[in-house]
Amino acid sequence: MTAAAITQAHVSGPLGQALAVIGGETWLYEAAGRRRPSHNDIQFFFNRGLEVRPIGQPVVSDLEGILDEETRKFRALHGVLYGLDADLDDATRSREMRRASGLLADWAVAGFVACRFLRPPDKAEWDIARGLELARRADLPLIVRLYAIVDGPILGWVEDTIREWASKEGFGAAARAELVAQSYANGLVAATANAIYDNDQPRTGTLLFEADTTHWDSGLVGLFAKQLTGSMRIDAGPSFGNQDTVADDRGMEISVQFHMLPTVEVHETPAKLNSQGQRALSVLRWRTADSFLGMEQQQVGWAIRSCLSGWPTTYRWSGRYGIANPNRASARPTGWRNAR
Amino acid sequence: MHADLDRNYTAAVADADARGVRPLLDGLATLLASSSAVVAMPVNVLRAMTLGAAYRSYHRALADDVRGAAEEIYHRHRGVVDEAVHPGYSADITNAAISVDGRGLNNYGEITLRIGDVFIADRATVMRENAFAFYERYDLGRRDAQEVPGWRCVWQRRADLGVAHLTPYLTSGTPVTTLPSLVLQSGTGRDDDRFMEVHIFGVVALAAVENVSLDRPLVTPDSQDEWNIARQKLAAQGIPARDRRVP
Repeated sequence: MTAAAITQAHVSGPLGQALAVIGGETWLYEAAGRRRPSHNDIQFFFNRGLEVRPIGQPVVSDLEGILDEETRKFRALHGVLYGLDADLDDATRSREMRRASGLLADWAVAGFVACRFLRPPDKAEWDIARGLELARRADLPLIVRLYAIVDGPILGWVEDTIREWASKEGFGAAARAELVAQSYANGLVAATANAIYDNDQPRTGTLLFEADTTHWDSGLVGLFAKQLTGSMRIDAGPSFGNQDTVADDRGMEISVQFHMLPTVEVHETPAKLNSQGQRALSVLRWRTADSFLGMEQQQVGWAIRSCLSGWPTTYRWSGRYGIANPNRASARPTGWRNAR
Repeated sequence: MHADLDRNYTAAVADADARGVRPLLDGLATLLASSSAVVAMPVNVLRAMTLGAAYRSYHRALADDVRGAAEEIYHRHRGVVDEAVHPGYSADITNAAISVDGRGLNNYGEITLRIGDVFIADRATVMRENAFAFYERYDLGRRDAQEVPGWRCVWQRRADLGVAHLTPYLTSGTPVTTLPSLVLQSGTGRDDDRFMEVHIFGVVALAAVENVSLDRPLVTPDSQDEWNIARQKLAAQGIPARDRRVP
């Protein structure tokens, strides 16, 4: 028997629902399973879903997985926002922050939340001071980090830097504004803000930069790279032709993504990165540019910054992937590849 | 249309007089005159509905034309009833029910929203029963089928329509206390529900909601958390929310 084809599908993470036309019939998917929707179910989905996005024509068996991931992402985002919502009592805010913090251990969720949340908040709408206090009291460093970034000057500095760079590059006002908006949307601002935040913490160890060669402007990345890592010494590592991904989601404080490469064996076992009391989300994404660290344009480097000492598991990882002695205040890329 | 409804109403009154149930009819008419439109929904929808513009700014919206086209396709593949009852505009309709005591159709969700008259009076019509029953009663799937006129009305005449539709169910043994459940009764499943359907053109905004009630137990911790959040957000907006799970 041939499985019925999906001709249209949409997901709403905020509602935890997906709609799909399968074999000519409309179905509603949610955590409890699938059912035929009522008229209002469809109406609510599109008008109350907060965010609905098309998901092409996946196979039926993939729908539940897509829905689950989308639901977790938005549950985390909402949890972070609830923590700042003065309409909610402290117990609710703290509970939702804890829930969000747990979900942020998944790097995909963390990346999504950083990209969406790290933008200048409307401080008249959000109670950031109390949110920070509650997050600190509940010992939720991932939440504290997010709140601290939006509460401080970092985002403003990043925005100003982008505008200044764009101006020097000859962008007009509208193009500058568009570039800023794009840089928020594609995660460059979030990644850079995280990098700056980590630099502000003297005992925070690792900085990993991963290039997003598809979306990020290489000139901008080079600029940020130079400004943030001027003292870092990096030697070129071996060349790799492909990439693979290993995600760490074991630790609550640290979430690391490795894009590695083929000629060496890839170990996909999630790594435990023990911060030994240092609480920091220490993964950052970075793309090299021709002006950065002497690498050729479009080559992607993985840099692990200094201060790896005291992170034994990272030490083993670094050895596995050819990183120089992590106890030294320098490291070399785990590898680089031609982006295209 | 008004003349048809007038005829149906007059026939119902005459029937009530003949069977000695006129006092019950009058009681029913009084209840219906002050009835409201209620919308049932799951608690996750309510929670999303209560999150205001500050939250929406963290979300990305589909372009209206893209959204509308996609929504229309899902409606079209849901079944033929909606389009037969609302030809050409079915996707714009929000379904509600007439309620005289604020209770809603629990088979469609734990939550009941009671909608303020003023917000829907000029964009709502009422049907004697739900669209599926109406469709079947008049065999609207048949080629050239036509509904019998006089069984839909504007919002302001819902009491007359209710009297015309429900009087045949009144007997001399009908307790007055059961009249609300004559107007709306949640069955063991959606197919068993009995109610007069309200069709509201367009979306019902939170500002149109007079009050909210939780009418059915929440079975998961997540849904309890969602109710807790929604309840507090409603309170912040001055919308009463009550828990009817306990007497």
